[in-house]
Amino acid sequence: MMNRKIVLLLILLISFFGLSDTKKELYSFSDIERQERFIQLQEIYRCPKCQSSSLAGSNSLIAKDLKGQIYKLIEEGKTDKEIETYLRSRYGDFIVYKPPFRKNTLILWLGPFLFLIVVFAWVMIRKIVFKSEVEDLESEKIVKAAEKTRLKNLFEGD
Amino acid sequence: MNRIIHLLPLAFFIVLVVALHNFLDKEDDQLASALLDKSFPTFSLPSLETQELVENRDLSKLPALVNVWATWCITCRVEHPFLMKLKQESVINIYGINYKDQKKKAIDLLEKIGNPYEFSIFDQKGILAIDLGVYGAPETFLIDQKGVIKVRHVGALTPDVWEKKFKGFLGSL
Repeated sequence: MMNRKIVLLLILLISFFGLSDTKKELYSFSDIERQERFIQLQEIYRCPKCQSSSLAGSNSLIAKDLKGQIYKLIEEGKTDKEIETYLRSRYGDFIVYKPPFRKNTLILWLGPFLFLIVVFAWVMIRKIVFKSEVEDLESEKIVKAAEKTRLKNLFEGD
Repeated sequence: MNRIIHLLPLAFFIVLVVALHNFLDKEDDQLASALLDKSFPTFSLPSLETQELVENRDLSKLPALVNVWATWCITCRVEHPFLMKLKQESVINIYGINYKDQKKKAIDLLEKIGNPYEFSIFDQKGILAIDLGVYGAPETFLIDQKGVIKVRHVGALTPDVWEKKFKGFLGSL
């Protein structure tokens, strides 16, 4: 019982450290829908500097600037599509997590399905081959049994 | 027949290794610029030295390098001597973009260590930098006579990089 209280206390204490991370750039939006779009957009674009985190998750100089730019574009009434075009024309396909469906990205999109088909075909072939092998064995057994009775008959008939 | 079938997974694995090696292990891990073979973005910003507005037509001595730098950028100091060398030997004209910096600091630094630039565009908010797809200083762009971006390099411009990425282009311009 005592232990649990200590643990709870510790958790409470640790949770204060979370506060230090809340000092972020504050943006005020003219309406809540725009704010939600902003939150959503900074998750789907990649930070070009750090390369493995979204704009939202990065505090690098360029990520901050790009967030500011997205904010500005949203407040100017730009659509999501226009914002994507804006970012892509400057930072290329890299900036989006979801790659475009194009000739050189075909393998990326279709690869997994191709792989699935290959594996499925493989399993089917194995199954058929195995089945015919079993059938061969079975028929062999039947032949042998027939042989046996025939021989037995021959001997006994003797 | 059976033996060949059993070797298939190994063959598949080898193909995968070779493919991934070729795709992932490129010579440099820099992001390809979305602006290659595009015109230098339009801008109108103060010059660092005179505070007067400069625009695209002020980048008049082409072909030229456009070099993104800042006083807070340590790698910029690494490439500085080489930029000075390019300037002194009149290999190519260099324009600077002073990126997210403090005016006084920047001017002081250039006075102290030498100024390789025709002039520097003072891009305090990083607007032009975003239009250029810059994601960190230093970055260097090569612009041809028509103002089209031909080469982009992220990181220090060393003699080695110059040989490999820039020099060839310069001859053809």
